[in-house]
Amino acid sequence: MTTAQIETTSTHTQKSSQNNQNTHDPRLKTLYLTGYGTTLTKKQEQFVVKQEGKVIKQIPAIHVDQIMLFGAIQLTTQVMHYCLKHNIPIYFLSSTGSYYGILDNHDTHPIHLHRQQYLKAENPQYALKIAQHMIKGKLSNSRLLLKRLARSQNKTQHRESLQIAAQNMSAYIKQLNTATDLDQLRGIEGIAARNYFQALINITPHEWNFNGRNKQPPTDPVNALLSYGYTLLFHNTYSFIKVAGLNPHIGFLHTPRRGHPALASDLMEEFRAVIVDAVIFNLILNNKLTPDDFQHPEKKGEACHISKAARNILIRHLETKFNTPITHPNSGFKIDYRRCIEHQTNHLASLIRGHIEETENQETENSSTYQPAIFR
Amino acid sequence: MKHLWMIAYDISDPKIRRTISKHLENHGARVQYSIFECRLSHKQQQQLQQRLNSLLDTFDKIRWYPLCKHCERSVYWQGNGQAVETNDYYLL
Repeated sequence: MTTAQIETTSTHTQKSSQNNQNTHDPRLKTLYLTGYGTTLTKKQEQFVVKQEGKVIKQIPAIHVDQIMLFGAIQLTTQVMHYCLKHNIPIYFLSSTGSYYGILDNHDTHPIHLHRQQYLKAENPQYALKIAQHMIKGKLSNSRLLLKRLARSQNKTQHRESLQIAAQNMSAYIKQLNTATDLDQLRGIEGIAARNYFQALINITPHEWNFNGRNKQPPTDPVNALLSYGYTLLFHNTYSFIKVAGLNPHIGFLHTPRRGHPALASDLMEEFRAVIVDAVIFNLILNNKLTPDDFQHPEKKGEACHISKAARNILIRHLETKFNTPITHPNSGFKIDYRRCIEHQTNHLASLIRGHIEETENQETENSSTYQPAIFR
Repeated sequence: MKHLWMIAYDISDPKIRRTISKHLENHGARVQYSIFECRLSHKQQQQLQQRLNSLLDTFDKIRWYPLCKHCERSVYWQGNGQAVETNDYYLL
C-alpha cells in the first residue's frame, strides 16, 4: 500500500483545491451561503455551516474576511457578535442578489477623516475633479474590454462594430474635460454607456434577448447576470471602504441618497467592465452558460431568475477573476484585481486626508488628484 | 501576507493537550495526531503563539516549522494521508 501511495502522492503535492492556482493570497476570503435551509452557527472559533440540521462544513473563523448571505440563511446571535467583534462584515442579500443591508460595527470611524470626506464632497470643484477621473477610468476600461472582445471575435462585422465603439469611447473620454458640472459629466457618461452596451448587444447571440441595460428588476438573463455581478463587486468595494476608514455613504460622483452607499458606487465604476462584464461575456460567448440556465419571466416587466447552478458558476468565475494576478497600472505592483480595488480605495483615502496641504499649495498638479486604475 | 506553519506538539496532560488541540483546530488543519498545518498572518501567528505559551507545562513542547511555497508544494505523505484543503473562498 505504501509504495502505491508514494507514486500517487506526487499528484497530491499539487494543491488539491481547484481554486487555489494563484501565487497570491486572496486578499479577502468570502464565505458565500446560498443554500435554502442553511444555518450558520459558531463553535468556539469555527463557523459551522449546517444544512437541515446536519453539519456540512466547519471553517476556522480566521479564514473568513466577509460573509455574504443569499436568501433566508439563519444566523445565531453568537455568530453576529463574533463577526461584529472581529470586523467581519455580513452582507444580507435576497436569493437573487438584491441588497438588503449589512451587519456592521461602525468601528473604523476616524471621525476626522469622515469630516474631511464630507467637506470635500460638498466642494463642487473638488467633487467634479474626482468624478471626472473616475468616469475617465470607467470609460477607458470599458474601451479596453471592447478592444479585447474585438480581438477574440471571428465574425468581421462583430469585430468592426466593437472597434468602432472603442473609437467612439476615445472621443467621449476626451469630452470629459469639457464638463463644468456633475450633470454634464453624467450626460457624457450616459451617452458613452449606451454606445458601449449597444456594441455588446451586437455581439450577443439572439437567443439571449439582450436589448439594453435594465434593472429593478432585470428582465432578461444578461441583465440578471450583470446585476448579480455588480452586487458582488459592490460588496467587495464596500469592505475596503470600511477598512480604509472612509464613510461609504458620502460619494463624489454619486449623490448621497438614503440607503445608498454612494462611495461604493463611485469606486466600483472603473472596475465594472474589466471584472464583471469581462467574466459575464466570457461565460456567454463561450457557452459556459446558456439561456436555459434561467427562469424567464412570464409577464413583461417581471424579473428573470438565475438558476442556482448558474449562480454558482458565476460566483466561481468572479472569484477567480478577483484573484487573477494583474499589474496595477499606476504603481506597477504585481497584485490582483481585488487588491487593485483596495489600492484605489486607499489612494482616495490618502487624497482626502492630504487635502489640507493641497488648498494651501494651490493644487491642479496631476499627482494630487484621483488617478484611476486604467488597465492596458 | 499569510505563511504556512507546521506546528507539532508534545503535551503530557490530556486536558491541556485537548485545549491546545482545539485552539489549533480553530486555526488550521490537523494532519497527524499532534501535528497541524496553519496558514497565518504575522499577527495571527503571534496571537496564537502567546495563547499556547500560557498553557504549557514544564516539560511540554511545541515546535513551529515555517514552510515556504516551494516546501509546501514538496510535502508528500505515505499511508493514509490527504492534501490540506486550501480555499480562496467558500461557496455553500
